[in-house]
Amino acid sequence: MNDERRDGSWIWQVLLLLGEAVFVVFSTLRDWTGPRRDPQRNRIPKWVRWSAGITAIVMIAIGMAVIARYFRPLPPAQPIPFSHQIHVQTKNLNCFFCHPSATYSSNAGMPSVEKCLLCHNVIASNFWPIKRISTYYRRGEPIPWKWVNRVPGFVRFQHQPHLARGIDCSQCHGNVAAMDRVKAVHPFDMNFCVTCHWRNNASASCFTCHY
Amino acid sequence: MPLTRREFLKGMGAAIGGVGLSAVGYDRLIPYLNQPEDIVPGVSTWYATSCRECPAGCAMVVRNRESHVVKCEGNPLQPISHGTLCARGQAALHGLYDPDRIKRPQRKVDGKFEDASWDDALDDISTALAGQRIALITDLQTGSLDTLMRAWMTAMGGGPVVVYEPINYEPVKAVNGGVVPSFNIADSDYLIAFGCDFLETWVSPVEFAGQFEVMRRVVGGKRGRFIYVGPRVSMTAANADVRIIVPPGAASEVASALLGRASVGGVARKYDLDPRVLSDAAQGLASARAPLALPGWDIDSAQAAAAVNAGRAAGLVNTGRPHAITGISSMADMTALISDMDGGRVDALIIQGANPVYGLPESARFVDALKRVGMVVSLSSFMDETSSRADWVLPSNTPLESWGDYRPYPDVANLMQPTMGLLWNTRHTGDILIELAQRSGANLGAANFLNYLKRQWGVPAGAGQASPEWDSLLRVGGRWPGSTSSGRDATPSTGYSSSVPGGTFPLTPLTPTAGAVTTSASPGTPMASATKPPTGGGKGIRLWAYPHIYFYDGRNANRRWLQEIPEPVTRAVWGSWVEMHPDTARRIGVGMDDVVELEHAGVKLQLPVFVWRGVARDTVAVPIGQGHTDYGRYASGRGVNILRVINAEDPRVTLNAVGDRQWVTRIKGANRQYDRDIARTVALESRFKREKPIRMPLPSGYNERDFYPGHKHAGHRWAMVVDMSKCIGCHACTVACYAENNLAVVGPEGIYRRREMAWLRIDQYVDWQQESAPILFQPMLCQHCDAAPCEPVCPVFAAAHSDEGINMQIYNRCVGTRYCSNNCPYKVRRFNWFDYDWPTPLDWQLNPDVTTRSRGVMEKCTFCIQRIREAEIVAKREGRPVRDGEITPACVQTCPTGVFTFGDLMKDDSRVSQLIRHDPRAYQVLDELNTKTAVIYLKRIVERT
Repeated sequence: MNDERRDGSWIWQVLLLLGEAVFVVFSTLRDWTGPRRDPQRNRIPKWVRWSAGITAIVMIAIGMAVIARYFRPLPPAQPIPFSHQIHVQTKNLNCFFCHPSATYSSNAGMPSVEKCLLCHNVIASNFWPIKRISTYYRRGEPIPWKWVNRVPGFVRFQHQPHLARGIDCSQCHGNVAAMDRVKAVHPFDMNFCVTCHWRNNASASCFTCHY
Repeated sequence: MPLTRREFLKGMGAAIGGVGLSAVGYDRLIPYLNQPEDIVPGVSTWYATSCRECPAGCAMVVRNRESHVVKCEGNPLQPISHGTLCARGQAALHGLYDPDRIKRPQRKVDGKFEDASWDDALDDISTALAGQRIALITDLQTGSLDTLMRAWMTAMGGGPVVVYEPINYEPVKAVNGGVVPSFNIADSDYLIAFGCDFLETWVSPVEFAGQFEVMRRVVGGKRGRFIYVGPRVSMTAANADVRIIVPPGAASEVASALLGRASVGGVARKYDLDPRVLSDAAQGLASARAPLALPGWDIDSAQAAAAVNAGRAAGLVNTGRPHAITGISSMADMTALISDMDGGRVDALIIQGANPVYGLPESARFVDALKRVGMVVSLSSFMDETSSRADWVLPSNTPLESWGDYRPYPDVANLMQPTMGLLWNTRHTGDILIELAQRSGANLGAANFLNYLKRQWGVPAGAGQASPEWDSLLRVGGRWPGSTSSGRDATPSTGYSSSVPGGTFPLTPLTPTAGAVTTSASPGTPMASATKPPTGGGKGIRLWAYPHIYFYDGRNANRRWLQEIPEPVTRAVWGSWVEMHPDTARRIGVGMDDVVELEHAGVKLQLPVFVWRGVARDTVAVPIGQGHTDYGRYASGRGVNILRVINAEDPRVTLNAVGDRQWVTRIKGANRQYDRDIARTVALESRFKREKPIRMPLPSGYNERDFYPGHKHAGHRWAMVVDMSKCIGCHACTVACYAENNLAVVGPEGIYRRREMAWLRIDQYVDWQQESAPILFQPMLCQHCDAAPCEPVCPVFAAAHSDEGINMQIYNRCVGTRYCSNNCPYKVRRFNWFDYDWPTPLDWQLNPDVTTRSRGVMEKCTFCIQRIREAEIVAKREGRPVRDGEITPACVQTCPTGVFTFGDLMKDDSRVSQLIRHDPRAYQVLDELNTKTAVIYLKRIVERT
């Protein structure tokens, strides 16, 4: 269950709290300075106020940059801590064993729950994540995998022509074989798609993807 | 503590942050639990089945994507549909996905329906049926379900089985020895239709449209001639060479005049006709090689047709090959059952699929009789007028979810299979009957309907028994002449079927049985057809109620595509209207859109007036099909049900102006050409000569007049040829486009504000001076101009030119300035004024290959780019170029007459290239604008211009 706690979304909550803290600090500072109408009371010199403020802003900016640099949110936690590394690298499974329709469909295909159990009825069937798969299957529920590598709804991406052209999975998906939890390596934006289309002399007409 | 402004803002900050974090949206990737064998996400699976939207019996293939069916197409192997489908067949999906379907069994308690379980329902009903006098009313079924229902009635003690359809073709049967024969239009050279809309609703419209196209091909400067005699210029009549518009009841007199048995002058005077037209038609009939007359909806026109056919059309009318419609019970049977019900001689009434409360006239007093029946059980998919009066409503599967079969002709048997899983807690009618019989201790010899069906088809029915024969039947879609020898299956090999438009349809030659035509029309036959025979020459206004092209007898009225698509000649949508001649309107003192009260036998109906010259004088025409009180949200409360008033002895009605006005909701826009030569015609006798060279949508089409240089095309330049001579105006293409491209339905308010979303519309031009073709139909879609006026005005390049020549509209770029639409001379661009809704489960029908557009986005025809892409990808996978005819946009695919030809203009041997280069009829709409359109029209061939 350690896995769940490493979920990246707490970062945003921390950032939000930080923002709130800045707000509170500034408003308190202003409370100390008192109402503007009474310039004589508890006057803190202007340069002190200014330098304190600027220092605070700089500190916060540095802090946020550090957080953004080193505390990258993790890819989404999956309902089952599935490791591609074990399946692909250690056990040497081919991508198409679980995602067979990539070569003949627009959709690479997610293995059915039944397919997981094809092996795991026998292999490691008492390991707790596997038990969870069996529970899903028994209850008749599909596993609600989180979607990691997504293209927007107005893009009609097709796996099949890319594979037919000999584009390796890793060119878009990164080295999934080395990943425990799958993360999006490339941003699937138009820059990424079109650059590659140009490089490979593929059509970059709008109607190739948008219709 | 009072809330200060500061605290409020602080709280707001936190709240907004929280909303931002929790907005996860749809981010799940849901796998199958057990993946079905024949379903691959992203790949279409096609299931062959039979269309059951009308009694015609077209075989179709249904496209399933990720376990939802999304599109219906004709089965190219079957001789009736020959790979095409009509508008109603396309809309079969809306029957399946109707949001107002009955979702679970309903029991009526104190006048209200309550949910019940199947066990309770079947227990209760089987107990109640024991030892009772049962009657069964069903809609038209043939084959296994018909056999099963009759066996069930026998097992349950025997009682009457009435096959009820509001339109029962009794007049046709009366003049053809009790059967509805098969007609061979294709081999006729002189066709007379007596009030018979065979291209719209009559018997088998898709089959007849295909045959009609064959008959009308010009061979050696000649083609089959078509005369229409009837009270209204229907869509069918608009396709005729000569229209003889006479009031209902005058067809026999016209027939006598045509046969030379009555004076042409006398008939012409009596009905205000041009005597030259009549004598010309009579001469043509006398000299015709193979004349054929089609009997219409009423006994008068049926007798007229019989008189013309007598002895001459023996090879074309085949009573030895009766249509399934023959099996509809006569009105006499229904009347007998009603009197039994009224007399308390029926304890339990099972109604399967039929809707007699809607279809029977008030004078039949069916509703009153229904109240005297002990228990009424309705087996229906919809809560219609009949179901809502039942004690038990057992929801049955729609045809697309059902096993079954349908035999339109004795030699053609379609097999039906479920095309997707069940949407709701419904059961197959056959399974319900078998279960009821089992609970009553009767044995019908099969555990479920599938086994029963297999036994009927002569294949092993045991569980787990593999049967290659059954598998091949399922793949082909049934048995008919040549179905086993073709060695193909109904699944289109490239993902999309490629019926060759304009090519040869596999028409079954009809084998004539010698002297099979009987013309002994018995005048005493009880008339139960939609329209009554007139009682002599009485004065007054006569009612001509005609089956609406999309609603037929009213059963399709809950399909909102069909409500939205304009009726071909009036272009009216979403309602009812009464059509009358300007002279008649003037006499009554009403004009367009005035409301009149139509009264007959004590029943009063109010409906708006549609004035046009297409109706005979002293006749009012009202479409059948609207005016439902219970039939789901799209049908209920729209228009009036004219079936309530017809079927009395007297067709005369009284009309009174009410003084109210109500707009007949119709597609706006001019139906005159204003000398712009948009829809052009060419006389059959003239030399077909090209007036102007085609401005090719290729670099070769550019010259010094052009400011911009031509586009370079990468390998393909897609283009289309539209043969207006073949277009009958049936709108099948429009509905196919709605289905394929996720077009929104805007409803009557939207239509009023000209916000309809049809990418492909059928423009209609009316000019009564043009006697041989007063109404011209012209399919109008994006012309995919090479020098497109829409492209340079788009500030964000959302309208742009693709490298394959298609004029693109990129939705995610569009900001909705609508400049493009403003600049489009063809007015084919459509704007999304709102986010239009698809109430669940209608959204299950959406094609996953096409983006569903949102508010503020312009959209238009894409030549079905998703189909082009799919064909290209398949071709690339197989390492070959795309074949000509392999790509069929939805409109091309479904057109029953093969109007459209689609292909690559950069290949010299493609059919579009050949037609554009060599067909002298080719022209471009508004070519003076130098838009270099890629949609090339072929002029309509008419008798005289």
